[in-house]
Amino acid sequence: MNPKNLTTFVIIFLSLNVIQAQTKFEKEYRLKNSSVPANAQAFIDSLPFQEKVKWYFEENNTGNSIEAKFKTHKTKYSIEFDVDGKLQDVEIEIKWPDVSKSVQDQIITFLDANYGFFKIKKIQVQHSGTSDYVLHFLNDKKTQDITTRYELIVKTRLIRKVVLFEIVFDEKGQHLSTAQIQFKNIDNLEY
Amino acid sequence: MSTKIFLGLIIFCASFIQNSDAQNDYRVGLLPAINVNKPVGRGWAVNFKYELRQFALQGDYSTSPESTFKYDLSDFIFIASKKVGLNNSLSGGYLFRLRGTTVIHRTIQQFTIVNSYNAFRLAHRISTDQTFEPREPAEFRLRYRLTAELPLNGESVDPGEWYVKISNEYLNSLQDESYDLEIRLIPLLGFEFSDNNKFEFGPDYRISSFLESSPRSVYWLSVNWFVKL
Repeated sequence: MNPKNLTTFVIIFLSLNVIQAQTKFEKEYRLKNSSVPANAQAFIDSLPFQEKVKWYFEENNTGNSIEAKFKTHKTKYSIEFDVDGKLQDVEIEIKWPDVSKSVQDQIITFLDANYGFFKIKKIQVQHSGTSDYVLHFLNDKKTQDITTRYELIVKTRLIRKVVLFEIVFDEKGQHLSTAQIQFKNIDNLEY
Repeated sequence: MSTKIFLGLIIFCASFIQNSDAQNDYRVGLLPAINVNKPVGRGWAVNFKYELRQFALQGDYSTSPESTFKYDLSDFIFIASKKVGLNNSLSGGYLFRLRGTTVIHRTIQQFTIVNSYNAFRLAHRISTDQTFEPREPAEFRLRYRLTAELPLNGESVDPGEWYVKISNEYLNSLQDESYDLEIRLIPLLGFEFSDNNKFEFGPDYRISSFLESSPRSVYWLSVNWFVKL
């Protein structure tokens, strides 16, 4: 195959990946404790952590939600509820070595196949299920009826441009979705 | 760790703010500016800034200030910028200054690194410039500026929200074998109308010549409007 044609094919293939990726939109603002639904507050109060919690109202591509964020034992937690206070998921920021080897291998295989150059900037593990099962998981690490996903922030180069993607994998490391992160304007920091 | 270093720099700089009875000159004035940025594709952008200086008061700390409402100068700055990396940029530009009937020229080179953290953004800007004024020796400067943008609501600045932007800059100047250091401390309050439209205002404190016996301070009221086309 002609190297020039191969290069053109690769560029078009990678471009298609960009076209297929959604654009991630997110806007959040602080919420007073008095505005938090009672069932969401009750869930947080039942956790085995006593850290200060910050509440946020978040708007994004998939709708509105309420988030509780706190840090305990040097680990960041983000617990998401719908606007009625029903638990949606728990996200915990982890490091790459915390991911099992088999899942690491699956993720790296996908990233290698889709992105020539990449760097993993941040990893969050996401657990979802009913409130009771998630509570059991957070208290006793019981994984019964818990759905686990990995959300990665990946820096990569696409057609001579450095971009950030949010890529979600299931508990086995199989790819689920990709969304490109849009950067905010930095003019007032640059000039 | 970056926050602690930044706060340390602020405190270090604040210690230079003059309030003693020493014979130190100061001036107070207004510093409005409009900054227009236009991306032109492939990571390139062109930037135009117009800034003027208007003095209002002057004096030294041992006597009452003298009212001196006087227009000082206008700056027209043109910069071309290329994005390198995720949020970094390499830029070059030219400044055209009108001070009375004197025209001053300046060439500018700068490199900016912007990092986003959980609840704030931090920018490092390193720049050099060369100033050419008729009947004056050329002035060469090396500058470093640290800027932090902190949202006042949530973990990032969104449209319709206020924020605080604090800058601390160190300007090393060499002119005719004479060295000077100017330090600037600029805490501003900003409002984001949209991602492409921001307004900021606040004090801009500058002190120079403090390595010699007679420091000079300037207190500006800085008013900035940033527009992206």
